[in-house]
Amino acid sequence: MKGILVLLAGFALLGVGLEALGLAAGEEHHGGFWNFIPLWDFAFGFVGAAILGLVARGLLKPLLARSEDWYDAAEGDR
Amino acid sequence: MNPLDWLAIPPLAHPGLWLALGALVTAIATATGVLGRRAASAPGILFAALAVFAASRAPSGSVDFRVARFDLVWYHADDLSVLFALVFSIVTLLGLLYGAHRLGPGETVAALLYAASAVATVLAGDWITFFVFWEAMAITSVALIWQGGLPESRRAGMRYLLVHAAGGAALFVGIALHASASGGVLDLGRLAATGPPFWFLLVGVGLNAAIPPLHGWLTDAYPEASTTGAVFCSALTTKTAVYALLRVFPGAEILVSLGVAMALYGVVFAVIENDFRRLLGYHIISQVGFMVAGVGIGTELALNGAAAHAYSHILYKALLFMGAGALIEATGRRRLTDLGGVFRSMPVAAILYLVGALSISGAPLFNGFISKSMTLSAAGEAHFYFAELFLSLAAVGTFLSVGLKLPWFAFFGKDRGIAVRPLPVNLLAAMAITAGLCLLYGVRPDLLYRMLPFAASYDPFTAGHLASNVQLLVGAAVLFALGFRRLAPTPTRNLDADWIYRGRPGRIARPLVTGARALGPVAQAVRSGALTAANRAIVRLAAPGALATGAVRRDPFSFRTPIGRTVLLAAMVVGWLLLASRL
Repeated sequence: MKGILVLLAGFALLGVGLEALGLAAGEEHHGGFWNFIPLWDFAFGFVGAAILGLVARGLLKPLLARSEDWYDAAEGDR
Repeated sequence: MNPLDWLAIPPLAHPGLWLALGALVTAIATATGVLGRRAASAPGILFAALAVFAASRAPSGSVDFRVARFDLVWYHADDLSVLFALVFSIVTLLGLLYGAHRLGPGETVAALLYAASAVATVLAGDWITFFVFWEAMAITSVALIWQGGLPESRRAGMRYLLVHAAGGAALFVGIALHASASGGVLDLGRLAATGPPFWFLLVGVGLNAAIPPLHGWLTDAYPEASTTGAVFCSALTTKTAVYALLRVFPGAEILVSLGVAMALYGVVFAVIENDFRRLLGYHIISQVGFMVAGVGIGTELALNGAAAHAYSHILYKALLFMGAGALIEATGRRRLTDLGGVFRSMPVAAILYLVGALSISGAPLFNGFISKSMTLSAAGEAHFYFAELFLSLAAVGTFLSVGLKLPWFAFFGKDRGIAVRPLPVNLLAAMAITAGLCLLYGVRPDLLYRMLPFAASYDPFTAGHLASNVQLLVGAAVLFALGFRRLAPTPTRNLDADWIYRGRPGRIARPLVTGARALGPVAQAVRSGALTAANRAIVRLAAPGALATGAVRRDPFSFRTPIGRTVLLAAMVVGWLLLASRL
């Protein structure tokens, strides 16, 4: 687990460095205002994954999850 | 003249011809005993290689032939159609190599005919030819799904067939309405995104593109195909639909919303999916959403992005389904809850799977990055800011489930002491070549960009693009590292759109079906009695005594035609009359 965290930290630093490089090079940006917030994509990746997880596990799964043979049973009734 | 130069002249330049010939040779060679079952895929591999060669040299232009009043363009090659024909041929070759150790004659022939139909569809230059091969693709893909060999494969294949028959009907009506409105113009070209023809064509094509809620067939049937069959399925049907959208509806803005909805729908369902091939099926929907949105944005960069992403997607999705198939072949298990800790037993397959996972996640230096970032950039440049935002969210979700959840719970995670069978060399070789292509296009995007239909320039390797993708992936990975236990799969089945015909609504329809069945014999008796009486009356008037001598059949109307054939014949006659009366 420690190795994974070190790897993630390395990639995080790489992401920060690349963003700084892009700003220093004066690269042209397109998109919504959020794209101009420093480290936006890092935060969006983290929060976006959390939102998707919450929606999927917290909202959809309780509504949609059935036993694995649910369709077989439903079709067997016919 | 170099013999291979003949492959640059139609009809030999048509890759579909070589794939169909491969099917024919396989069928004859195995039926006559020239080839044994174990070598059934050998001719297919040879002919698929010829198809790749033909596609890579296919000359631009059109070739037609006249049938009745129609000039049917069976070969229409331009940058867009050749791009799809080439990647379809490549994936067919790789798929046959992947399954060479287990492919029998039936599955090989079905796969080759399915690929030939898909290639012929993208090289069709008119709506009639397009429709014929589109339907051939539906039939051959069902044959391939049935080769899964399990009872559930047969049932899922039948549902697939019925759903695609409905989609084909919608497409046919759309073509007829379009022909009617345009005064008989049947050329496959850009159409206005308004009016009844648009909506019927959108439903017909959208069903094959798996646009929700018309997507249930995909996540129902693809997991039931064989390990090899799923590779072909993942590559061909939905991407043929993307080609059709690119050809016919570039710039139709409704496709932006539909594409974004697809991209999010797929990833959300994938997060809670346990069957890993169904999980990958949801990500076909999600990735096709990127392409559909690109078509809707409609700028040259966006259309290039959609075409490039289709090309990349076919390769990395084939690799992912190969990895899933390798898991099934090695362990005999298909659910994440039944797996864990098999990395040490199958490290090569696991690493090759991870190449596909990083590609689909848009990691820099993998082929998904060079095409996905093009679509996202196009959305930003065309001021579709929220589309760009939500597609980025879908990209995060893709990495979360295909790049993190699936490999963690299948290859790593808790070691369940699962016995792992060794994987055949051909399977690993096919995976390695596909992974090599994902990496090659990832580091040399110019190899793909120069085949794209428009000349729009794009540099994926700017510091900004690289930073954006690296940060997105790191953010999602940190979240997963902190909370992966909450994303652990559970042994459940999630209801989806196929609930409409498999769940409660299907049960509601049961009395109607039962009633119709009960009425059938009564109606048949009434019809038969009436026709027999009429026949007798006619014969008595025309030839008294003929009945007694047996010169006339007692009931000339007593022959029976299966209902499927009756419906098909009726649809063909109605369609033909509709076209003939309007053209």
